Amino acid sequence: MTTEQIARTATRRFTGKPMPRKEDDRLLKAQGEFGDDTPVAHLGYLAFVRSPYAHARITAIDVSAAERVDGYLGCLLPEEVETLTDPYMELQGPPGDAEVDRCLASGGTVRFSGEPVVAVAGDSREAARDAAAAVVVEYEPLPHVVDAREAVREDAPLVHPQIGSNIAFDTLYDWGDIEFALEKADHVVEVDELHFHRFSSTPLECSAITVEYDAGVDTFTFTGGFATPQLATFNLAVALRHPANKLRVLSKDFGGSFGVKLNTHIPATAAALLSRKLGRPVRWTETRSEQHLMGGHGNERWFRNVKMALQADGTVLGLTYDALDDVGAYTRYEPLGGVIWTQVANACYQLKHLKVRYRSVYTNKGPVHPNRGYSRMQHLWLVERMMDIAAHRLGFDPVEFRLHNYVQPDQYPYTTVNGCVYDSGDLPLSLRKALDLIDYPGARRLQKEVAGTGKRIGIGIGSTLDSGTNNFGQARLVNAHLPFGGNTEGGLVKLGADGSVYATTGGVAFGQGHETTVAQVVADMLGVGYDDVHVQRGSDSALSAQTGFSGSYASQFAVTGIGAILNATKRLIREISLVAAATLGCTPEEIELADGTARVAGDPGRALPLAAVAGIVHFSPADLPADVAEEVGLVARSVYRAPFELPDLERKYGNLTLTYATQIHACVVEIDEETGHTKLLRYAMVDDCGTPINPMVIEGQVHGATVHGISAALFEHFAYDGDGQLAAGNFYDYHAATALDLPSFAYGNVVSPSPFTPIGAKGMGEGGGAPLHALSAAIQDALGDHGMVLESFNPPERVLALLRGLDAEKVKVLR
Amino acid sequence: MKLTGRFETTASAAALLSLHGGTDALAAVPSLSEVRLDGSGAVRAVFTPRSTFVPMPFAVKVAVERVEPAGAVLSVHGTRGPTTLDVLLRLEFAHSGMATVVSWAADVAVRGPGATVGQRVVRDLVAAALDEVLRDTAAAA
Repeated sequence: MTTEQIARTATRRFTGKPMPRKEDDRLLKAQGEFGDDTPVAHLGYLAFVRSPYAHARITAIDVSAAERVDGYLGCLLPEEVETLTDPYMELQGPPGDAEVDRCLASGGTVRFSGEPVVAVAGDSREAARDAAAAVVVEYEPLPHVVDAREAVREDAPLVHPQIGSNIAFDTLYDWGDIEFALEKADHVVEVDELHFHRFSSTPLECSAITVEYDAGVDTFTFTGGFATPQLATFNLAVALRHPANKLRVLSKDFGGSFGVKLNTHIPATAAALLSRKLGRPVRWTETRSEQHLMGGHGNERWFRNVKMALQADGTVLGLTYDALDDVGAYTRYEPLGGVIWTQVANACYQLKHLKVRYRSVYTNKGPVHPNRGYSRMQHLWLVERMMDIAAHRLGFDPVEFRLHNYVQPDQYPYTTVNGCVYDSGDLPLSLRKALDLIDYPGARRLQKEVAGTGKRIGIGIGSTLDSGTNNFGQARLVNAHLPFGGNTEGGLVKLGADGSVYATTGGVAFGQGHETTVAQVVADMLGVGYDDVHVQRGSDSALSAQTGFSGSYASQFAVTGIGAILNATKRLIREISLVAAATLGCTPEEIELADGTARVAGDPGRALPLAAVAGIVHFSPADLPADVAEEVGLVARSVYRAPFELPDLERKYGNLTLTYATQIHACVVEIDEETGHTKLLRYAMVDDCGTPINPMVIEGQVHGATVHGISAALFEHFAYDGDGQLAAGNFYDYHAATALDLPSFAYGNVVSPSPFTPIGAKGMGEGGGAPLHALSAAIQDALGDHGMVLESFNPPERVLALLRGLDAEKVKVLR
Repeated sequence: MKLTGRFETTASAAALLSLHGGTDALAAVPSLSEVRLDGSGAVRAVFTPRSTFVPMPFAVKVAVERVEPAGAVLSVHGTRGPTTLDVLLRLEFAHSGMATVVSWAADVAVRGPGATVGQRVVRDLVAAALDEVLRDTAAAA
């Protein structure tokens, strides 16, 4: 099967080739149409008045000064929202489902600094902002909690008092027998506490939403960055108490998401209410600071009481820890993260035992949203840290230790401790390639040469997985009553009246190159040119291409999106073949598509251009036999259904995701002992995402994930002060890496086709956070055992502390 | 954050203390407008510090927490949109020749964008604004 897949794509004209991206021409010329670009007549602009307090009771709201601002149109108050909307759906069961989440602060209480309290509209952006600034809200501050470890204490201030605690989700995962392993193992390594910090994907384009309410047909049209249009429609319908069939969600170009635009429906609700109230379209364009305050933070996680069991030969038996996942003030997509991480329970290793108590914890901070590497990255970092720490403390070579414990190539498909199935990969080969790319022996020599010069060299390895194509049945592990299972995506391919080929995917592109990869596979299947395939930009919830799960998330487009397009194209080919066979006098099975024609195989003189096929169907159906004319519309819509079953809820066991792209990174850093500055000298990444559709797109996404991961490890931190104030509300304080911060990367790849997907490809856009693992390991390598890297964020001040021995006492080798 | 400052004024300590309870003198302070007393006896005003790059009017409420023979403790709450400012301000007056030395110490909490976005400049801005309004107020005494 694997050989066949490679051969099949190797003979394609476009699939597997680095075709130039269709999107780039318009994007590089600044001719894209993003959320704030579309001109709309009679537009009103929305600005939010936001809470300055982490936790406070609202005692008064005075909008009188706003009403005196030139251009003021109106406002929306929390009590209106309480009256006009229902709370958003909660995924968690009792008691966490008592949480009330609305588009403006609910219940007269604000729960994080930056929470919207009043929505104000003006006839210009400036008028809206001036009017919002004139609104006076009086607050009575309440005790707040910003640290998840304090939030779980009995006496902690409650973010949602009606829940009775700050714990939204609490569960125990116990696979294998870790107690037995810890008792019998030759070695046990214990770490008191590790911390994965809070950062985000900070998309280039912040959210921009335009809502037009058409009173004549009582319909809302939303235009903006909705990463899951159909789920957004459901959420909006519930919140607005409005029929879903009177909501339409559109997007054109949108500039990034990586999960954070899965919750766009929340501010969109306020815009919708104002649009209806004012009788005019309303647009909200998020500022960068707003995006930082509540655009969606990644999950911050504490790992406590971590223990790893190992044998004397370096075989890792298993792991146990308690996780406190800080979800901020509202759960929103959470606590799905509480199960999503289990997709990669084994990380890259042959673990036999894993026991984790996992709690999702409320704090008075910005809510978390799914974020690149969502929830898996945190666990992957923890496992990789523990591998690294164990190797250091027990004296194993870090390379050999990993090679020994990796899932081996001949073990695929590999079933993990919790029943997930790793589809394919070659981790040892990937690691060797990565080490070659950084000249590992040379780096070790350099490490010795610089000793004592005030500089230190560290070499780090990051092994990670990018699990893609979710089985939504895993949501039932969070709440057994949730009506989700499996996964689908839709695709639509058609021949226009002139024979032009159109393709529409249910997926939503925010930079991944969907127009390109869709055109590649459709062109190959239909035998037309790459430029002859017209792929619809953006998405439209009213188009039949979408299914309920449609959208872009969870590294899945190469599987589900392309799978649906392949199925739709097959259906269109069948219709073309029926028409051509009827016209050319052969059977449909004898028809092949090539060079823009449908022709009789082995007799290329008997051929119909696709334009002629389309012309017959659209303009002269009387030329066709009735049964063909009635069957053929040259509009083919199909779904791709990922082959999943529901997991065993009792055992928390089953396959939760379809593909596992691997990334192995290796790096060499230089640390300045005087300043703590970490300088990247060499960086290499080796990707394995199965059969490539477009290697250039893949390499670009690997570069993007690498930059983001390096940036997160060294620069990006959504830190809060003790007062619950975000300390990084702009790009001055929250530095996202640029080319000036980075060395040139060395890229390599390994191709292990997935046996489970239509063309052997795997989703890979998220990247799995390998740079966080690699940089933590590299800094550790530079330190030796002096300090221990137990934080994922290591800016210079922390590295200086590590050089002085920070956290060394938190790591113990029990035997 | 904790801020301190000191300046000299020709007003006597008694004149400075007499500012408590009235609004006429405060209305003459250039950076204050719409000065009034609310029902609780606190001073309400719009404070537009001159030290900011663009006009940034804050709605402020100033309450006298304690008055002493040679000083006072004030609490100040200011809001501008989503930014709030809470200041506990200790004033000490010392006679020095023909002048009075005013020493002030402020415990300041800034919340909202002022804290989040303006953290690199907020300390200097608040210190300058406090110094400016206190000098102007003393001059009006």
